[in-house]
Order: sequence, then structure tokens, then C-alpha cells
Amino acid sequence: MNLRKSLMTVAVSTLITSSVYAATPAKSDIIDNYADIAHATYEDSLITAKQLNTVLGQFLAQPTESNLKKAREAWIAARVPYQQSEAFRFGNALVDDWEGKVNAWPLDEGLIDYVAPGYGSESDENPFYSANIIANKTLKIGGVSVDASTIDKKLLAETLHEIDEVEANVATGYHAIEFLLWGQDLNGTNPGAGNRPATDFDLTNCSNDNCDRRRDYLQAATNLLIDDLTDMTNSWAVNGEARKDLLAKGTDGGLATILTGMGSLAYGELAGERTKLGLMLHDPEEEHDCFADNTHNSHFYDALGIKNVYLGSYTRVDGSTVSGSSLSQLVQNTAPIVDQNLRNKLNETEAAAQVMVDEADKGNTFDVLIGANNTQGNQVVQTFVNALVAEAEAIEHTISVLKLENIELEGSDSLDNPASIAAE
Amino acid sequence: MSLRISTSSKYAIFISLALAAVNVKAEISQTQWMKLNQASINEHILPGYQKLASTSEALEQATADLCQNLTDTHLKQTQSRFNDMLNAWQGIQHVQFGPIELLMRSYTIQFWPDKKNLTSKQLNTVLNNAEPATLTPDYFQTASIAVKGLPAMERILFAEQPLQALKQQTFRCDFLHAISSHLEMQTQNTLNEWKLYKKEFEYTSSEEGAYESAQEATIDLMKAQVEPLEVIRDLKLLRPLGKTDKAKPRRLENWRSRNSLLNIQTNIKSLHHQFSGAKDYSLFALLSDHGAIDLAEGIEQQFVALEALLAQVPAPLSQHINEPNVREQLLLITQGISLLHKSLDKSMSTLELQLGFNSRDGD
Repeated sequence: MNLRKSLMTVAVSTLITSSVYAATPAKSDIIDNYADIAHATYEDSLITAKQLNTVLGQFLAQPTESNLKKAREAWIAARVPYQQSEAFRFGNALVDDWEGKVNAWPLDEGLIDYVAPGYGSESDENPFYSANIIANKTLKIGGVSVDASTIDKKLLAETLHEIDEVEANVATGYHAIEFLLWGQDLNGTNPGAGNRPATDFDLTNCSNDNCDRRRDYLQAATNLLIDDLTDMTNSWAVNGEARKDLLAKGTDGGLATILTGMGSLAYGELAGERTKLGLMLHDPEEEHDCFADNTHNSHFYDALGIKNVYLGSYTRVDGSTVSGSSLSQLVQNTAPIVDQNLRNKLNETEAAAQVMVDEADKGNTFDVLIGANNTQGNQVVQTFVNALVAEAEAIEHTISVLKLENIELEGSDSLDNPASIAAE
Repeated sequence: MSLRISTSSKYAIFISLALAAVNVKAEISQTQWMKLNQASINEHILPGYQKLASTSEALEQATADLCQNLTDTHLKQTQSRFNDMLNAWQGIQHVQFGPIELLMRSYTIQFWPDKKNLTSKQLNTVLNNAEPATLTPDYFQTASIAVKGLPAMERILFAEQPLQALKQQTFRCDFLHAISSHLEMQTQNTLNEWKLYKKEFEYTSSEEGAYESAQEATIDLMKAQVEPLEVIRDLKLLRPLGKTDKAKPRRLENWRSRNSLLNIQTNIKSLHHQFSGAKDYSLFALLSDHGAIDLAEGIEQQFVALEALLAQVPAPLSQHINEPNVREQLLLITQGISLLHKSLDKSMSTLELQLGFNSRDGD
């Protein structure tokens, strides 16, 4: 505890004289700027999802390989702002409750469409493991009957998504669309992503059957994503629900929310669930964007999102910037060493994520890096995990110097205490 | 006294406690933190790992015998040794720091919950391929955690017709034994390394040690004391209970070997032991020595009440979890766990210990 104690001493002594620094931002300005960045990030997610929809329209009109490639590129582009928005997920109960509709993962893709025999036919956890809704107009599984004659938004969102309370039954969101665009990645931990043929969507030259229903599914899932992103964008507008919830927590509650979101994403979710587990299971599907092999980008932009909220600045997809008062400025004026330390850690994480992006450019995507006998690749991923863990520690120091440990975050059962987070 | 009255009066204990006001009298010295750490290690952690290593050795022996003699008696013997090792693990799994962190040991012993069915998928691949190389220590060193722990052994030992399946494919038993040997080695190494690692707790402050102060070391111990409660509540109880009235028995931990309830009972008993069971010193004693005696006694009562509630639940849980009265009992237990967690959180802030972020995130 020596380090932490000495940091605290610095913090306390500078706090007394902090009024002399004119640059100390008002806490309410930091929170307003955070909410503005949230709004811009979700609006960018919505804009890029609409662009994806336009490109998909062209692909479905002319289901060629080159149009499929354009659709895949549009999906990858849509992930860029969305992943940065994940820093708003934990701590904001409204976002965390909504998130499962758009970004639930991992999924049992056999629920949606055909899969290779190696996938297996049954799961302990999930009776709908291989239900294949695209091939089956009616289903009767474990006493549950499903009328899937029409594939539309209602079927996906209200009947299929998380059917039978199984989280892996992901019928909606980015990863369902990803599976439809790429198909299963059958390369194991060798290079290569999913390779679904464009003709899977071709009504005149249909491969793998039920192309009409596959097209319906793709359109319904994309329209649903747009609806959900519209809701969340509005929720962060002035007078939107998420913004109101945040402001209702008071200034210290708001700051605790920001740091809670940063630390929870960095530590338990990104370092643990999405990265370290993959390293221990060596399973090619233990990666966030497993069909597209886009996990390196997803991780990179998650990390960037954390940095955005701390520095209070976001670069939009059109190149413009949303920025204002930041937590970093506040901490700089109360405990400069703590601020510098956290900024260093954010940069180190970014550098470690960049190495994964560079490896992917060489063909060594995340699933290759986590392979059982890829010592060097494993180390690249482990370095990223270590950087995130160090970053989470620096966030803890920040919570400590701002004296936010005992702020109760209302509206989130799982967050009894921002310093010990276990989101559902 | 009816069940309802007794449980609601215990519930009242849970509630009153979280509201109790506490003032710590004096600053706690590094010597006192050190005393707490050493008592916990000598009387709680080391005996826990000792039991894990010895049950693991017995399981390895039983598995070796089984593969020589594929009889019903040997199967039952092995299943029984499996239950022993699982129980030893449940008594020490809350300790997530120190040598158990190395080489992914904790995850290796038990990867659960397995939301993606990977144990089944990966184990079937290994068994179908039946490559001799997958029986070697080299393979186990880098193999996926899904195929080298207790859940994989449980799938083989408690399959629908385990003996028949073992007789059909000798590789199946060989792989079972290979897992067991790997676990024996890992648990023995954990114990041996802890005997060295305990030296890290013999200083009040250190420049080069694992911890800069005895108080910093206490934080690791307290994480083991507090954080597992959420895991028990959320993963072992609420997740199988489900949000609606229809429970999911197969989401229970170790439902195949019918250990789901015993696991939870063992977890709570062990956390209780860590709290107040050590004779030399304990969190209970530290709180009492520092003016928080009401809080200390309240937490003690909460543990006792939880154990009493758990003792009333019928086993095997997988067969009873869908009964409305059992559901009600379990929900009451989850509330008790939440309130106990709150009280322990309160004791952490009383002692000015900050546990920091924990690893339990995710959807």
C-alpha cells in the first residue's frame, strides 16, 4: 500500500491548494461533456448502421461476391464507433440492460442458420443449440413451440432472442448480422475468417437452401439494430433518459459512474471475459468477432473508448471532434501523478492493442494468436491483458484520490460499490 | 417454530446488521495485519490446499485402479474420490491469489460455467481423435482449460453409462487418468509453492516482496473473503433459478455428480471459517478489537443463519429446484448472501480496506 498511500498524500496536499489552478473544471461540466460524447458515439453508431443497411440493400439487389465484400466492409466500419461506446455500458444501468440486444456474445449460431457437422447437435445449456430458424418455419423444442413462418423484427426480438432464457441464443445485433455475412469460421486457429458464399442470398442461384428466409433475416436484424441504436442515441440527447439518470446521481455519483464504466470494461469484461478466457481455452470461437476475425479492431476501439471518456474527447466518424472538460483535467489539478500514471497506462494499453492490429494485418488474427502452441502469439495477447489490468489499477487509484469509493450508484443492483464491480 | 417464522427472524438479523453504525477506535498496526494474515494462512489456506492435494492424489490412485479394473466397484470408488476432491476444491476455490494463479491453475481445476458448451465440444474432439500425444504432460501444459479439469472428469465418470463407455474405448479411461495425474501435479505444486509463498506474509513491510506492507497483503485475503459471495449468489443460484418460474437444472454446478447443493454449503462454511474459525486471529477478532464488535457478531450470526437455511434445502438440487417452495428457499438464501456481502463490505470500509475492481464482469 505504500505507493497508494503516497499517491493519496500527494492528492490531499494538492487538494488544499487546488483553487489556485484556474484550469480545474467544474464536475458538472465533465459530466455534461461525457454525456455529449456518449450521444455523439451512439449517433455515429447509428449513422454507420444506416450506411451498412444501404450497402446491404445493394448486395441483396445484386448478390455478387464483390457486393458481399462491400457489405462486410460496411459492417467492420460500423463496429468502429460502436465499440468505443462500450465505455458507457457499465455504470449506466439503462445502457447495460439494453446492450444485450445489440452486442450479445458469445452466440450459438446454430440457432440461426446451417452449421458444419463439427459444431455438434446438442448442448447441455441450450435446447435451441441447432434449431436453425432459417431452415425451419415451425419449431417445437423442449415443449416450446415457435411459429417462424415469417421472419421479421418481431420474431427475432420478441420470440427468438434469448429464447428459453439462454444467453447464447443471440438472434439480434451485430454478431447475428456478422454470422449472416461471413458464416462460420472453419479454419480453427489457422488464418482465415468465415467464408459464406454470396449465393447464400441469391434467389435465382441459391446455395445452402432457404435464401429467401436468409435475406429476410439479414434485413430484419439490420432494421432492428437501427431501431435499437436510434433509441440509445435519443436516450443520450438533452432530456433523454440515460442522460437524466446520470445527472440524477449528482456530480460525485456521475464521476463514479464514468470511472466505474472505464474500470469494468477494462478489467472484467475486456481483459477477462473477452481476452484471457480465449487465451486459456485456445478456442477459435472464443473471440469477440469470431466470424469476421475482426476482434483485434473490436478490442482496439474498446480501449480507445475508455481513453475517450477519461480525456473527454471523441473523434467522430466524419473526422470532427467532440471535446470539453475532462476527468483528466480534474485529476491533474488534484493529483498530477495519479493523472499522469493513468494516462500512461491508457497509452500502454493502446500500444498493446495496436500490436494485435498489426499482427492481424499480417494474417495473424486474434484466433491465430490464441492458438494452443503459438507461444509468441499468446504473449502478444497476454501483454494486452497485462496492460488492461495495470490500467484498472490506475483507475482504482483515481477513484481513491477523488474519494469516490463509497458513492452508491443507484439504479444498478449489481453495482453495490463502484470500487468493487460485478455487473450482471 | 415453523420454517417461515424462523427464516423471517433470521432475515431480520440480515437487515438490522447492514444498518448498524460502526466507529473504529484506533489505527490498526502493520503487526496486527500481519497477525491476521498469518493466522488465515496457517489455519485456513494451507490446510485447504493440503486437503486439495491429498484428495487429488487419492483420485489419481483410484483412476489408475479403475483403468486396470473396469468394474462397477472401481467406478463407484473413483466417483467417491472425485466427490472428495471436488469438495476439497469447493473449500478453497475462493482463494484466487498466490500460487493458484500461476499456470492458470484455478481455471484448470475448474472451468465453469461453460456457457458455450466447450467442455463437451473440446472433450469429444480429443476422445474421438484418440491421439496418444494428448495423454502426455506436454499436451496438458498448453491444452485448453476445458479438457483438463474436474468438469471434464465429471463428464466421463458420471456419463449416462460410464462403465460401458469406458469399456468401449480404452483411450477414454487413459485420458481420464491423464487429467487426474495433471490435477495431482498441479495441486501438489500449489501446496509446495504456498509453503514458500507464505514467507511473503512474514513482514510488516518489504521493498522487494510481493507486498509492500502487511495491510496490502490483507487485501488479497479479504478479496477471497468477500468477492466469492457474488459468484455463489449469481452463478450457482440465480443463474440456474432463471428469471421466470422455470428453473434450469443443468445450469447448476456439478449437477451430474449431484454436488450442486453440497458445493454451496461447503463454500459458505469455508468463508465462515476464514471469517472467524482461526484460533490465532481472525477478521472477527480484528473487528472486535477495534470497536466493531456488533458488526463482527452480526456477520457471525449471518453465517450461522445462512448455514441453517442451506441445511433445510433438499438434495439433489437438480431434482428439486423446480419445486416452488425450494425456489422460495433458494431466493431467500440469495437475499441472505447479498446482505452478508453488504455487511462484509461495511467491515472493509470500517477497516479502510479498498478491494478494488474484481474480475466478475460480463453479460
